[in-house]
Amino acid sequence: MDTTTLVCPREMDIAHAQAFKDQLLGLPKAGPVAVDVSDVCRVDGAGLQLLLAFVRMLASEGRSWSWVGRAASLEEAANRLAIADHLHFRAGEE
Amino acid sequence: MTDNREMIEQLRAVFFEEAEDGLAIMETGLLRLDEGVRDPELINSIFRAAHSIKGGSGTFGFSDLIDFTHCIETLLDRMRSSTHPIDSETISVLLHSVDHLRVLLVGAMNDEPTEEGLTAEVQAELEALLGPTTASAGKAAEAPSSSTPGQLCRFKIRFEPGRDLMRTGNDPVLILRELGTLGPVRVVAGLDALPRLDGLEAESFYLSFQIELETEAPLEVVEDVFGWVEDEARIEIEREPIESAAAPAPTSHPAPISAPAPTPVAAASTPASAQDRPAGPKPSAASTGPKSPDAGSIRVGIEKIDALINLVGELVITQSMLGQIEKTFDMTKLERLRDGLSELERNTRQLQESVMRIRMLPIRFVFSRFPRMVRDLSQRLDKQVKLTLSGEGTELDKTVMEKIGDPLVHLVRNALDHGLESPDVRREAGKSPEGHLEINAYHQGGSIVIEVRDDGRGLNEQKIYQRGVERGLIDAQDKPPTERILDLIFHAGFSTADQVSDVSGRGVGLDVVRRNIRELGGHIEVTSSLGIGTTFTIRLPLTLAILDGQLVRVGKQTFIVPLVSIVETLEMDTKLVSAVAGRAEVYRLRDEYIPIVRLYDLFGIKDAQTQLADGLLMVMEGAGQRAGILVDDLLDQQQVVIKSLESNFRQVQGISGATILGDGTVALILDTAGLINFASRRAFKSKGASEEHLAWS
Repeated sequence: MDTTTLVCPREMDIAHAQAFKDQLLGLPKAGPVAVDVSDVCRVDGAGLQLLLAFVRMLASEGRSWSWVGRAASLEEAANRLAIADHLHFRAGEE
Repeated sequence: MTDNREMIEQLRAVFFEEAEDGLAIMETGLLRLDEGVRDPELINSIFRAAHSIKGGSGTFGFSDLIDFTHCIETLLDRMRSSTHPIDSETISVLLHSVDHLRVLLVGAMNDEPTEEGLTAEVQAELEALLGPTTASAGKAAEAPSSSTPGQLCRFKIRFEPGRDLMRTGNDPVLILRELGTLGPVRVVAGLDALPRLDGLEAESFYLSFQIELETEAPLEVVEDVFGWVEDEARIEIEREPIESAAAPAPTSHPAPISAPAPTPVAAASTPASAQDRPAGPKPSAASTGPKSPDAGSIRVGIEKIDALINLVGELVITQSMLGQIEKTFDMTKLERLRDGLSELERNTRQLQESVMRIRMLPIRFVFSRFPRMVRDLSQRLDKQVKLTLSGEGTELDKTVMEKIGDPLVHLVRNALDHGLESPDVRREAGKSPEGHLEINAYHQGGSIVIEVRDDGRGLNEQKIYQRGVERGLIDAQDKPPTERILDLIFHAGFSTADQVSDVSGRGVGLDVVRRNIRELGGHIEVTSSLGIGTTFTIRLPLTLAILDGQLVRVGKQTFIVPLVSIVETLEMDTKLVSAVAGRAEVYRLRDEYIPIVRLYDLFGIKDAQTQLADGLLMVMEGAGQRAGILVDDLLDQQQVVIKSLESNFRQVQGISGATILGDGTVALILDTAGLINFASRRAFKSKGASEEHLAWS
């Protein structure tokens, strides 16, 4: 099955949270996902939480995902909230 | 970067506004404590206000404010736990501290350090109340639960953000990042409450955290990290000392973070003694001057904004309806067109009123300074004064309000210094030893009326009359009515005070008060009864931007007369016209003689009616007097937007401004009070009146 690419927005914060959620829910419901975080500059608790909920949804559906690119701000924030392990940054990194 | 800077500037502005509100809460609360109110919630509200100021100061790095507010907090904390008495001395020191906080805030706002000596002086007052232990040990030692600075402790923190935490502008990432600056942190996230993606509200927060922090920072510093979210989250903090003073091994973290090196918290948050700080430049006069945190902004109630939005909606609907008519217009739709235009006019007027209401603020903003002022002054003058404020919700234009503060302060100071007697004198006069000062505001017609009333000794009419004669303001032969004698107190340099005090009595002020009020388009009058009291009544326009006007024609010129000043308009019976001093004319209107002003003569207008019998006499009232102006004809009535003649052209006596009419022509707005004054002077002044005229200069 084709891999779907999710390009995370530059600003993953509360101001853009609803749009990001809509983007996540609009993705195909099956197949692997490549999560491209290379554009992410700004992230807050709301953005991280959405990403976490998305990854948990993929895991619960038995779908795989991988990380494309790196975003220091995203990793730092995920580490602060202690959810970096739940996001499996390293595991799926390309 | 620019966006960030702008955002920080906006947040700073909000902080200063809120800090000003906080100071008002503190001051009002302290005054209520001083009155004997002993409600624990009152001290809590004062404490919360101080705590918010401290929290905001921390966010923006105003260390002077943090340190100083912390001392205030400590004292308040002791008061609420009944370990420090709530007495007059403590309240005075706290009020003084509130004043100093205001100075520090102005300094912070202008990026100018406040003079060290000032802070040291007030802080010494606080520390004298707090006792030597606290004074020397600073914030870390005053609470029994505090840890000793320098002692390594482990803090176990349970942090459960509420669902709305992020909606209030807070972010757990920032909070945990700040906590990380205190020392090594270990965090475990609780994900149990996180719903599936489709059931998750994007702006709600569902995670919780179990945190372990090892730091030498005292408990208060750790608590302060959560200071902004204490109402939005469940926070439990436990502290346990770590036996070994050696630095802890770095805490393993799930992933590498380029965390900033732990900041030595004790150095950052422990208040340095005032003497230790480098001396900064003295704040300039401007920095401690009248600049107010809200000088460039206005807070508007949400209901006013909603009303505005509703009206704009109505306007759009009406416009759309008119657009439809226009597309298929024929004469059968004329009636609908008329209805639509009439609806448009109604919408526009309501919209205008709503927009004007946005600038209207309750006069409470001015009144709020008086309880404190009366308390301080009455203590200084050794008088007992009860202050009653009423009508604080009465709204008036922000610009008017900003300018009425100083005149009111002057009147209140005068009332306290000269109006109200000392308790002994009052007892001797058979009065209660406690004097009563009442400040009241209410709407009347198109104006706001403010009364400042005291039950003091009253004005001595005879003394004022004699002083007026001595100064040549009254002819010794004249016997003017009481109101004209009392009016002398508004003359420059006129004072009957036997003693000049630093509060008032130099004869400087009431003339300025009247001038300021006149500049606002208002007037002030005084009534008084010897031994009973004095009342100053100020009447001001609600707004300076728009007025309801009567358009009148004089020759080919159109003038506008403020509707509120028109008493009546009549055709003259020439038999009732008399000449005074050979030139000035008066008209006998029932039992009163009113001076006649021929506008065409004053303003040099040709082709106007010159015969009194052919024109109309418009009787106007202003500044407590009446006059009649001769006009050719009455035209329409309409609201006009006032344009300043002074800033667009030059000052013209007898004219208060100009406006642009619907047909594009400029019409001048008559200065009612100025015209009446002129007419009265010309009609009743015995000498030199005939030479007097209004000038276009």
